[in-house]
Amino acid sequence: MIRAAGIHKSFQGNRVLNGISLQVNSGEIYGFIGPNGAGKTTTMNILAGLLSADAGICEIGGKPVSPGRSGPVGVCGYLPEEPRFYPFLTAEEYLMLIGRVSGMEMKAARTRAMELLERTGIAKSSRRRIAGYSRGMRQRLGLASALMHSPRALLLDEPSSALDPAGRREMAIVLNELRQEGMAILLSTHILSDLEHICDRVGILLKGCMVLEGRLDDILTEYAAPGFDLQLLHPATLELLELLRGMPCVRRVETQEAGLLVRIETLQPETEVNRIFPILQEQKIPVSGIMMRKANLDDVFGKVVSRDA
Amino acid sequence: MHSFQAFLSKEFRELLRTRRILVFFIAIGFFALLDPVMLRVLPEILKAQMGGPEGNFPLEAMGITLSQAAALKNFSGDLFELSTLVVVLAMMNLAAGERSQKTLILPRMAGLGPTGAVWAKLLVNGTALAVLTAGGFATAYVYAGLIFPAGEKLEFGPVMLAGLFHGLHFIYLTSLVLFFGSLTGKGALTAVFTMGTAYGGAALSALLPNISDHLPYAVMERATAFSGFGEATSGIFILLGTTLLLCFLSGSILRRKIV
Repeated sequence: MIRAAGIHKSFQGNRVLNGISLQVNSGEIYGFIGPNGAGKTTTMNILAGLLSADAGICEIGGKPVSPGRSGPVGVCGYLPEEPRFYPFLTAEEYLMLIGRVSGMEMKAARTRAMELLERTGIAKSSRRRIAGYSRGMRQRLGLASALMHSPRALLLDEPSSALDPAGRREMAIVLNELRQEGMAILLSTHILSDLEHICDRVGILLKGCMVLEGRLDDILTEYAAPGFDLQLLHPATLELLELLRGMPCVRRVETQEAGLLVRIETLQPETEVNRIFPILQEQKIPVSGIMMRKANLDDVFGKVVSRDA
Repeated sequence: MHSFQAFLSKEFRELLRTRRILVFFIAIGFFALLDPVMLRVLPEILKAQMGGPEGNFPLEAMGITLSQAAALKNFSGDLFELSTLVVVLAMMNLAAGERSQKTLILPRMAGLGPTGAVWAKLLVNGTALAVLTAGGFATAYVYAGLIFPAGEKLEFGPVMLAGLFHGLHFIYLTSLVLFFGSLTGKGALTAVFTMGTAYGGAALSALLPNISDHLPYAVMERATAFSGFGEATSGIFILLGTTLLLCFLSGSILRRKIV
């Protein structure tokens, strides 16, 4: 449904995208992650037909994307990171404007607008002018606007960055429903824990290159190391730090006010606990806490970024 | 066509809700009422400032005539010299704001043709200005007629034709605002370039009298002279042609500069 192959883009000699390729199928949510400036928004703008690529192929719904022409109009919805509206209009009026622009009749546009206002949770404020909306409400309205013309593909750039935890949960529910309806969704966000709950596949973009791509489960199995954190009530002496860092499963030792935090990565936490605890007991180092950790996207992202930086 | 119709209603709401229509009304109506009054009280002001009886001031030798025609000529001049400034400042973000605020992204994804949006802006703002200008001239005609029962009088027809010329010129100014706004994306620069073009046109007309009838400013010369169409026909066509061209260019630029 959404396909990019070998996309290159430079701005004034500065290469922003270096041969990006990705594909998002119908009924799939693709998590698009990367540090700031990696090229995520540029990729989205190119896929939306708002920017031209220097080289490469972009298709939405099997149709080539070409800026300046009709672009992926009617097939694709796009929610920019900071959606901008006309502040003097109400949300209902704005959605009707979008509906009318897309060719809907007045009555159909009103019905669709009310349905989406309800779905995105801003129906109660639909007759208030947008000027008085919070950032979170604007993002909800942005999602409603992107869905107004019933697109088959959706490009979402940081759709929940301004939402509170409840709003993010609601956004995840809506995105899940859209996936079930068969929509292809390309979702860029820095909130990786959100992605873990809803994404089917993930791509990590770094300095304009796709450095890792695959099914979320596969990536987590391959890259993320589960383990546990140990909280030690002991001052950070040189001997202790050397002892801990000498253990093969210890990934990191952080000095904290109350003692030390030892991060342990292992696929067999029980084995490591049995190995490390006697050593600590022998050294008379009290353990104040042990926190089990599951493999997560945050770890994968950290590893990939530090590996390829 | 859908974009045009949808944006027509949006532009109309914007005109009302941002109070731009009020600014237009004040910029035009103020001089329609003030110019006849100012001319009427001018002898009193001179008397108060210079002392002595009114009869001692050779007003006619100073180029000042007290009549309805003089009041209307003053109004026409002020409309070009001063109201233009206010109107351009009120409209400077018409297209520049769309570009700098990136407000066209979501409509574009739904199928907006930026040219339709540009036409809607021109039609709504241009019509409002043209109607207010015609109303301003009608008001000034009646009001100045009441204040100056004697002296040189003008026919209603040429006065309203002057109003039409001013209306056309405001429509041309709107297209300039749209063009420079879509080109620069900056309201202040748009205002400077538009004013430069408007006032520069007047200067060019004075410097090159041979071609002045073929410049958009020709309609202003006709409007200020209250002399009917005269030689302004080619100027009108050039003004309308330039307006159309600027709108097409604005739409074309906005289409490429949405992000």
